[in-house]
Amino acid sequence: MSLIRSFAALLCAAPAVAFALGDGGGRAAEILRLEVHPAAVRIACAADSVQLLVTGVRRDGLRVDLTREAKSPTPSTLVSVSERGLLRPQHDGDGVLQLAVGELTAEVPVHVENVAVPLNPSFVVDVQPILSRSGCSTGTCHGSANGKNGFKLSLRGYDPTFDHAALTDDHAGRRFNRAAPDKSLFLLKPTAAVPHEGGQVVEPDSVDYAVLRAWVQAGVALDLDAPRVERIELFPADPTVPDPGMSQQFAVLAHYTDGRVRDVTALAFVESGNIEVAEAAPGGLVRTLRRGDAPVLARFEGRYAATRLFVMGDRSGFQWRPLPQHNWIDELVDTNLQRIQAQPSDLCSDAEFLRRVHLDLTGLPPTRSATRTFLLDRRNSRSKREELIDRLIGSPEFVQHWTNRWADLLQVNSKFLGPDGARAMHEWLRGAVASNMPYDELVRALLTGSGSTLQNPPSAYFKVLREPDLVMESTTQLFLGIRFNCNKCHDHPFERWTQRQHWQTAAWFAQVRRNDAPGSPKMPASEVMQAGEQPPAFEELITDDGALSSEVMDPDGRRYANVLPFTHDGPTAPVLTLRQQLAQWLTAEANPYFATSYANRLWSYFMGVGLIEPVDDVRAGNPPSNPELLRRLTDTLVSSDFDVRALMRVICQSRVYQQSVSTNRWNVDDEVHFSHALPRRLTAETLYDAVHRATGARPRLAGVRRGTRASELVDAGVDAADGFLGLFGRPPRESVCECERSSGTSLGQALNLVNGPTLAQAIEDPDNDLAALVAHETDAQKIITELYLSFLCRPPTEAEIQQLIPMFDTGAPANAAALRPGDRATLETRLQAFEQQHREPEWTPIEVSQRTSDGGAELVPLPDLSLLVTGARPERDVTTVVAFTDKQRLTGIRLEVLADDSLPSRGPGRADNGNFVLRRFTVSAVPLAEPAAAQVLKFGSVTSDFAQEGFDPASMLTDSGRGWAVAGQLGRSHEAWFDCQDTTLHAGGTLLVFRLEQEYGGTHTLGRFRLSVTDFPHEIRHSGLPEAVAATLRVPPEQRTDEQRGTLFRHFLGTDGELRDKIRLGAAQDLAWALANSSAFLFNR
Amino acid sequence: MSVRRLAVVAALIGAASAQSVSPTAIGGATDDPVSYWREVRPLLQARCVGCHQPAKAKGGRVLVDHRSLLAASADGHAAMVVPGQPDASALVDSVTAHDGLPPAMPEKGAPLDTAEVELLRRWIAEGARDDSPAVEGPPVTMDSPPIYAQAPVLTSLAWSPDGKLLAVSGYHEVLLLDGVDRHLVARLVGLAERIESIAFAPDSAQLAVVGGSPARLGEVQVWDVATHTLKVSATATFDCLYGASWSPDGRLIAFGGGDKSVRAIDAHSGEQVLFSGAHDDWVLGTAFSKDGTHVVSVSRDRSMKLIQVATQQFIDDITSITPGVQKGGLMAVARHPARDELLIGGADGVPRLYRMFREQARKIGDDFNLLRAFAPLPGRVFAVAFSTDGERIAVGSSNNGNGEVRVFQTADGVELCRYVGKGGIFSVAFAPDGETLAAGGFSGEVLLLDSRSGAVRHQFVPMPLGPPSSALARIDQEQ
Repeated sequence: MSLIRSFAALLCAAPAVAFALGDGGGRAAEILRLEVHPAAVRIACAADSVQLLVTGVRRDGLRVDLTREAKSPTPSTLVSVSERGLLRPQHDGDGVLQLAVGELTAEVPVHVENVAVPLNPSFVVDVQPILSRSGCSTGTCHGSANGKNGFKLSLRGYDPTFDHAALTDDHAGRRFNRAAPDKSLFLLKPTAAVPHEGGQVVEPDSVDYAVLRAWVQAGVALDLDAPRVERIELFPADPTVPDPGMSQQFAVLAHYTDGRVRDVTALAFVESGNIEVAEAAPGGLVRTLRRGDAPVLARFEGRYAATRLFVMGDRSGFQWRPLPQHNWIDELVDTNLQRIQAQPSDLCSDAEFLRRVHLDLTGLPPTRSATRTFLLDRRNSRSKREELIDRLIGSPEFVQHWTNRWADLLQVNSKFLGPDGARAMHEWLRGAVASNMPYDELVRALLTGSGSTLQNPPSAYFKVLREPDLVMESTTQLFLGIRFNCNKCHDHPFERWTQRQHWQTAAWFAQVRRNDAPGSPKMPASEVMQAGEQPPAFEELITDDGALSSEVMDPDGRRYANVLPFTHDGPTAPVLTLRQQLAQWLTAEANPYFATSYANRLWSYFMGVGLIEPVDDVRAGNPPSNPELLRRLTDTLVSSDFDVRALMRVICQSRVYQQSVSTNRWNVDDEVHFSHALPRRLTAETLYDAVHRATGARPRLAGVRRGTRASELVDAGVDAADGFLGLFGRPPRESVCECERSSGTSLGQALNLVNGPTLAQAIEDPDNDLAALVAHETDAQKIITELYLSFLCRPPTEAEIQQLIPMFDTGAPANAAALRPGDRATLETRLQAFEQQHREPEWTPIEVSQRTSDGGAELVPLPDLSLLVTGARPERDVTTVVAFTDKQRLTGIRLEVLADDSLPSRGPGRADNGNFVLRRFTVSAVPLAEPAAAQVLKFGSVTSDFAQEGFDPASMLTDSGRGWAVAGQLGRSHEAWFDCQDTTLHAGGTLLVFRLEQEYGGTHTLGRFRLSVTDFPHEIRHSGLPEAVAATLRVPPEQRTDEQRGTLFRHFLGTDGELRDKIRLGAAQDLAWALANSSAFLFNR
Repeated sequence: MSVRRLAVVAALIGAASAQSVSPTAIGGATDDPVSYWREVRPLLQARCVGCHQPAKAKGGRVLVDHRSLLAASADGHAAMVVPGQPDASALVDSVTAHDGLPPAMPEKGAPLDTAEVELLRRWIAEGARDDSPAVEGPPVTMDSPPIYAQAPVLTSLAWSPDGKLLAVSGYHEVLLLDGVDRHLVARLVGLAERIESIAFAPDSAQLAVVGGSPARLGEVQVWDVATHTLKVSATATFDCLYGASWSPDGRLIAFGGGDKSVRAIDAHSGEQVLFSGAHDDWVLGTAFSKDGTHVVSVSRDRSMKLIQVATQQFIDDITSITPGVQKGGLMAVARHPARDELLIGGADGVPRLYRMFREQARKIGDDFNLLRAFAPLPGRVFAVAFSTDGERIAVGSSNNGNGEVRVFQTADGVELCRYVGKGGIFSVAFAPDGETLAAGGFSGEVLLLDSRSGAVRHQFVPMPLGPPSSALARIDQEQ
């Protein structure tokens, strides 16, 4: 709409030299001139058409498709012009078609002939493309395996003979009518003149209808010798569309084997490879939706052409900020990014790089000490990074990691090879990786391997792949990145490969013979075997047998001899076997697919996404995102004689590899142009190994030596007990497809990471690094730092430390609650015992009946049954108190000395500082019924909540002691408990006579006190617990506040070192769980 | 580019927005009433009748013609169109968006655009008139037989049991040729465009013709041979009928259909007397047992089935039911003149002879009824026939544009002779004298072969050819 509006506005304006198209955002760019494609129009048949492309070149250098805006001021008599700019012939002649957009004009010469010549259509050249274009032969209609409603065509018309029979022979020619062509079902159905579930796919007045009808009228001939399409071209190449919402018209030209060039835009399919960015409409028009790339694929009669369309979008304010370029990779990526106006991200941090490059090159994160060393290295970042790359490439872990990668692709699996065979193949691969065997040499060794599958392991390639067509499909996918499995049953639906080529290529493996090695036992029958098939021996001998037929047979019994699917000008040398010839052809430097597909594969291993994706699906319709870069990577691989390590080094050294995952405004939407690093989930093996490296636990995988890393496994059948590797997408090694490895995320994975046994075992392993760390390190901050280094390969930030330290607070009930279940039970048992042990007697305060002060002080009873000493303030005093009790049993006495505001310094004594000294405390029990039986009570012990140093309460019982005092905690109440050793009192009541001797002098007398008795049947001993704790214990458990509970926990755990350690270990383990579940750990960033 | 240009104009004259201008207006507002024939019918054909047709009336709705639009549906729903009341017409309702929900119809495919909906509304508002041109009976008649520019494909030929006539399929007609001198005796012109199968009654007095108009109509015709008059025209199904056969007593005619059915009608009344739905695919051939109590049928579903006439019950699969034994669909069947033995042929090219009635219980995997498999012909077998004495069989096939006829000895399968030529063979028939073998197919010509040597005695186009004018031209223009 906005486009139309501004167009209209311009028409109203005064004449201008240029024409402007706005984007609604006020950002108008002037159009300087028009360009028209093709330069001249030539139409030689009434049924032909030509697609015009009218392009405006803007001042900002971008080009905009104006095909639908262009009009012809003076209509041509020679051709009609559709809304989409499709020209159809009207009359024979020569002339000029004038085109105008606003004030800008262009002309194109037009030649038209044969308009009046009756059509004589060819089935192959004319009819079949219409059936395809109309959708008749698609896989969802009559091209499906069973056809539709009894009418079946070959998929997308790859088999003209079959289709011709369906149209002319089925049911005695039911579908055409020579006597009355318009009554042909073949015409009535697509026009929906009779009911057609597929609807109207051909319009009755259209050129297509006329062609179909003319073919019927001419006798429905089949012309298999008609010229075929050799190649097609797609115009424009690599268009950049300025703004989302704009459309781009494409034109498709077909080149036929007889040299004819025909505009087939009206018949070809033009499709978008990225429907998020652009969607195709019929007629070669592609509508753009948002910024980004979309491969655009044209398809016509089994031929394909592709280009990339780029939608620029609003880039106002974009200014290219050049970043340092480490090597040519950066130059080529930058060139592309500059073109699409995306700003690359800055370099990642050293810590990020360290982890990334370790994971990519060795499949393992760095150790804590490696991290510390690298981060503390003060040298220039770039040189220490390059030094690290050099150190990792070729390291034992590197060899292990890349051996594992190869073993995946070559299906090293005891199911196919037997345990010995798998081990032998693995060992051979390890040797090849360790010695950096050139890639082409490795592939040749595999493709030509002969002899014993155990003695010469590469020959086992043919033990795994047992049929010529399977060898061929795997080989082409693996080493050329092209998929020949699609064209086994019909011609490839997205590529030029034919069914015939499938079998012809397979025939190169027809003479491979597999014989059981003498004496080798038979393998168990596998589920992949056909019924009745004999399993092979564990050891086989692979040979080439020239006596075997060099032909293969398809399921329909047709035979095919070996023919290459394409040729190149690589050298040919005299070689002996079919396999050797094929290997030479395949691995030749001149083979356009061989090095390219591996360079692309390697690139994807380091960048997370290939230049072509999927990496093993190289085809015309899947063009690379940066063709120049792919070419240069390929050249580098070839010119280094296929030195894989050299290419890895260049990639790792590039700035592009070392870019940060964080994005900026200008590259946030890019996922394919390498403007920033892409986070990649760790692979199954790497994740497993990383968990064990970070925790320091030794891996325990079923059936292998304890400590074997996942990446060291020889056989795909081995896994952790919980199936961890399978769950995280480790390839089952049952095909050569890179897609076997899953890098997705799933709920099952998330649950496993949250509470699965693999992590649990690693984190809770008593012999792991966490246990050792917590055992010798008490500083929470240091523990946290070590865990961060282990899991995330970086130190924690200050904020993270502050956030995490409370986890290690052993007093916090939440932390105690987080103990493992066994430890929780221990904690509870011990806490109960503690409570039991510290249970307080029930004290009964006594009601004083008589009281005397030898020093003349006054003892005033208070409502709480305490006595407040007032009046005279003698230097020394002896206080006597008498009280009645009817208890039969007396086990303890409590003396509380109480603080009081009326006392000096709040007491509890009457000395100026509030102290007192109680020298001696005696109690006599006088039975009322038998006063003569009076006795002095014997105390087993005296304990107090607090005592001044040198004034222990026990000294009150001795003759030589100094008595009890409380300096140090003055102004507060205290108490002393006297254990009475279970005294039995007489029935009928007893008078208790308390004598409190305070002879220290200096008014160190009691200020306020209270006496209580108890018959509590246990030892009466004051716990010495802090008052808050003691107070908590006095509260029934169910009535305690959170604060009281916390007080109790904290106090209790202070007494139990073992549980305290458990809490700290628990905290460390919980932190480990959390870190292992963080995306910083799960992803390579 | 008209939308764009209009938008420019709209902008220039200050109109609100190009979007508000409906495409109908672009075509130039006109006061002419909407035409059912030229405007509504093609729209419905293009967008609706694929699913709402007699063969497949989704939702109980059929929209193929004016009558069906204005009639209540079979299950009692109101008519799709209420003349004069677009808002009460289900047709409009179903293609209109409601409450932000897309229109209910078309279920598959994009909604109708506003101009198309407006067209329907206008037509209904204007009274939903039917302006279809009058059709007076079939476009060609006995009095006005077709004139051919080219011979149509020959789908069927049959000798009268008395040997006096050879009936040959044409377009809209059966041509009766003199059995001896081959001159055109009569042209039996009927409704059905395609004649799929011709069969003389055992007494030669009647001729059964089955066929139809592909994707529209199936018809079975019964002609009185002597008077060239059509006695019965019965329609069945919505596509051609195939494989006619007479019961030995001349009372019943059996045939198959594209709706997977086997049917039989009373040859006198045209009433259907038998229906079987035992097959899974088109039924292409039928044959009665010698005593007329049973009928067999062959189908694209690769099976030959036995049906009891009196009960209409499926009795048995005569061919093997083991998957993979039958390689392709069956297209033709003939019964031995004297025995209950059946000759079949089909897509795998192998003629096979079967006994009709099982003599021992079926075991899984067996093909017990098979008596003999003859040597395969190239391509697909479209036609099989016995000689009158049953001693020989003739088989016709089509393979990539070439046709073959082979004659075998029934008893031992020895090939006696063959004919090879351009154009697939779709029909074969022994003359009652056993000496001549008629064949025809793709080329449209009748071949009269020496049945002993395979040599061609006569080869001719059975119908008169002329310029493509008159009748056929007229039909064509109706499209």
